[in-house]
Amino acid sequence: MSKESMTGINRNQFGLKIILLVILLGVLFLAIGVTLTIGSARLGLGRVLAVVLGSNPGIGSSFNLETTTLEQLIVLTIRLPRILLSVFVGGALAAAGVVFQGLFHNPMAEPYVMGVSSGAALGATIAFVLDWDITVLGLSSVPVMAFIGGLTTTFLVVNLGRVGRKVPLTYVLLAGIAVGSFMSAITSLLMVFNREEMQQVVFWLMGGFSGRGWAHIQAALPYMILGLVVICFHLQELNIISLGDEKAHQLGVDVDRVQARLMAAASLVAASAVSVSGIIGFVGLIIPHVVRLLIGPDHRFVFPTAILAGGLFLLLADTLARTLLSPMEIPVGVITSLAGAPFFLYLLHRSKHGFS
Amino acid sequence: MTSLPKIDVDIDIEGLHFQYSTDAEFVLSNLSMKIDKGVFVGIVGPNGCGKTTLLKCIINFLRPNHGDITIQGQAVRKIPQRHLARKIGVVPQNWDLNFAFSAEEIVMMGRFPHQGRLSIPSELDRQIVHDVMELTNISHLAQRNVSQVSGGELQRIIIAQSIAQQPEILLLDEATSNLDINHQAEILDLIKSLNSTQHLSVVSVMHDLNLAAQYCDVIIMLKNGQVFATGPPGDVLSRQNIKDVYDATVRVRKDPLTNRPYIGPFADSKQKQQLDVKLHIIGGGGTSGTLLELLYYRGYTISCGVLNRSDSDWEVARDLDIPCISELAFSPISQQAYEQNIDHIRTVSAVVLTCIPFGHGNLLNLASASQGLKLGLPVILCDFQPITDRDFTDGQASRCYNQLIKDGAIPITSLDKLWETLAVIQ
Repeated sequence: MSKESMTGINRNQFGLKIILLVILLGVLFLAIGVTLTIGSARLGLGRVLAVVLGSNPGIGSSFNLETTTLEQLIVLTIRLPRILLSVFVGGALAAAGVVFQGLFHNPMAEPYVMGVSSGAALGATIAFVLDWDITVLGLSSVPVMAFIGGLTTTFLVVNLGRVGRKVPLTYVLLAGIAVGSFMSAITSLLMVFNREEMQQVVFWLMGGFSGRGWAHIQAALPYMILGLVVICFHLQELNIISLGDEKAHQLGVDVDRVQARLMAAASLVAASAVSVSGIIGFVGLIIPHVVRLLIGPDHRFVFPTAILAGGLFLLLADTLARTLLSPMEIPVGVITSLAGAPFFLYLLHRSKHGFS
Repeated sequence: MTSLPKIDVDIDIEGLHFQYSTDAEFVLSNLSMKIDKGVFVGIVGPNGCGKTTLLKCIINFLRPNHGDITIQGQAVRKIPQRHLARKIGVVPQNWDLNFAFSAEEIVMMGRFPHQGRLSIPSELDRQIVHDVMELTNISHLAQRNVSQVSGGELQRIIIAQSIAQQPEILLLDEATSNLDINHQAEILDLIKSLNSTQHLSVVSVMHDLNLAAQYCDVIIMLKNGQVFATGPPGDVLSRQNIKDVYDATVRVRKDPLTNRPYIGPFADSKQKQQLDVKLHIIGGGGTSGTLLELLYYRGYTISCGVLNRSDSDWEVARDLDIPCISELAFSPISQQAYEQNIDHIRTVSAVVLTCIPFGHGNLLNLASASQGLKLGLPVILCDFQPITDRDFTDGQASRCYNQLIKDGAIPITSLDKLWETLAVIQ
């Protein structure tokens, strides 16, 4: 094969991957626009656009976009933050999934392997039970406690699994399982003793975006972005680490440090997502898989593509959650699990037949 | 004024101790070695002697308990990981493959230590990857998923990755043991050529002593985590060293072309019991070496002659300390050597004449056999090839040979017959 044709294929594949990214981004924006129109109050795409564009003082005055206060309330205060939050959370969970699957060299790892979910659940349960009347950054105590719970558990798991300077991933995985069960047991215990709050807790555990607003976005987004930026700088290292710790070391990757950083960053991203949405399953497991099937295993492409795909997936799932049985809400975690579990089994089936 | 060529030391190891846990035995204990720049070094030793552990210490993957490892004058633990990866590349024995990267992506990862923060490949990176894949003969696999290539192809991809890393020192951990013999030679030839043209230092843990003998300039033989012997293959890979380190009995021959040792195992070497039969072997031209060893390990007391020094048979006799009547290299057998031989034959209980080709120079060996008969000894003729095919004396040798048979010498046609005959004599 000549050099031209070889690098030609490279460039083509590179181009295709970029095109896919751009298409996904376009679809995502389109989906945001369309889902803004969906809901009990009927608003056309034109009205929605007018409201969104009109909210920018510059554009609003120059085009003289007239909108009613009600339209503004529905679009800007109710629908838009919820939609954006579902996109951010979906992207964050998928991103964390990509990182953990890469780190653990295991396509079955998910964002909650380090115990983020069980810790967040315990934190949220404690907040429900104690029912503190405090607000932090415009948030109730539930997301704050969930965030603290998630990160504390991760910290605990890493330290329990640590052997000296190294963090062997098998130990972390086992510590994650043990600590997770322990946290869940305490959560169950708290629920048994506080039956009045049980329904709230259960609902929160199933995950959802009902009643979420700009405050949640403002609180969670900075941590998500911080984590995602850190991860961005270690994507090729993540590729190399998937060849095994020793090989990565030989190729010049400071494995211990990179692993620690990626664990911290991905846990931060997952914890911020969980704290504002509850525990939404399968997004972080399946999206990275699908993306890898489509574009190959290179994390430098898988990562951004999975963020967009995860955002899109959770946006669609949440739209179904709030419209299928309207005015009743289905927890979005139920939708993702309903769609995700059969898909997971399908992947399992494929992996039994030589899929890698 | 001419100065001596400066030899740089690439790897300097002083008093290395390593144990995997505090209550375990030391895998490496007080190990010291120096590896000069541009040398092809083979590390050999039995399983568990610490070869792989040593490599892992050299790349700072394992931290030794005591001792210093210096790479080009710098303590290895003080070299940042990325810088170390520009100096040292490693080809492991095997590795994990969890994601379906293409061969080209895998080879490109070898460029990591030379790339910037975001690892975006430059034109130079692409060129190097392309060239290396051509060198290692894997260009056709470029877009193939590495989980779908054969073991040998995968190993070549790993080797390509390490070469793309452009290290100054290449460590190989039994890197070619999974390859077919043709790829084994291809890869080792490639590494040897990088070693000689680009002064790449190579340190290779080797399982196969013959490959080690063939490719290495220096062999370091380890035993129980220490250096047992260091030097050129011919010195280190001796019968005695291999006995001491591997507890294995082998025959060591010199490859006549390269003068490097060639090692072969001996299956029945351990059942040695001394037999009360003295044999004298008349051989030469490489026909009696294996027989000498077989008889030796079966416990016969043996002697041999007349052999020319430089004959491989003579080397076997020397290695095994078998008494041997010898003649100068490439000289006809002298009257003096012949008489010594007869004197010796008087002391034995049987004579074996191997399947020697005869020329005018060694006709006296036939005469020795004939003297054996006259002394009333059984004389066994290894008649594996007709005498006419190995007679270069215009029939003189054939006449003597046939006379031997008439006079009662026992011609045998296979080794099994030899053992039977010897059993009868016993």
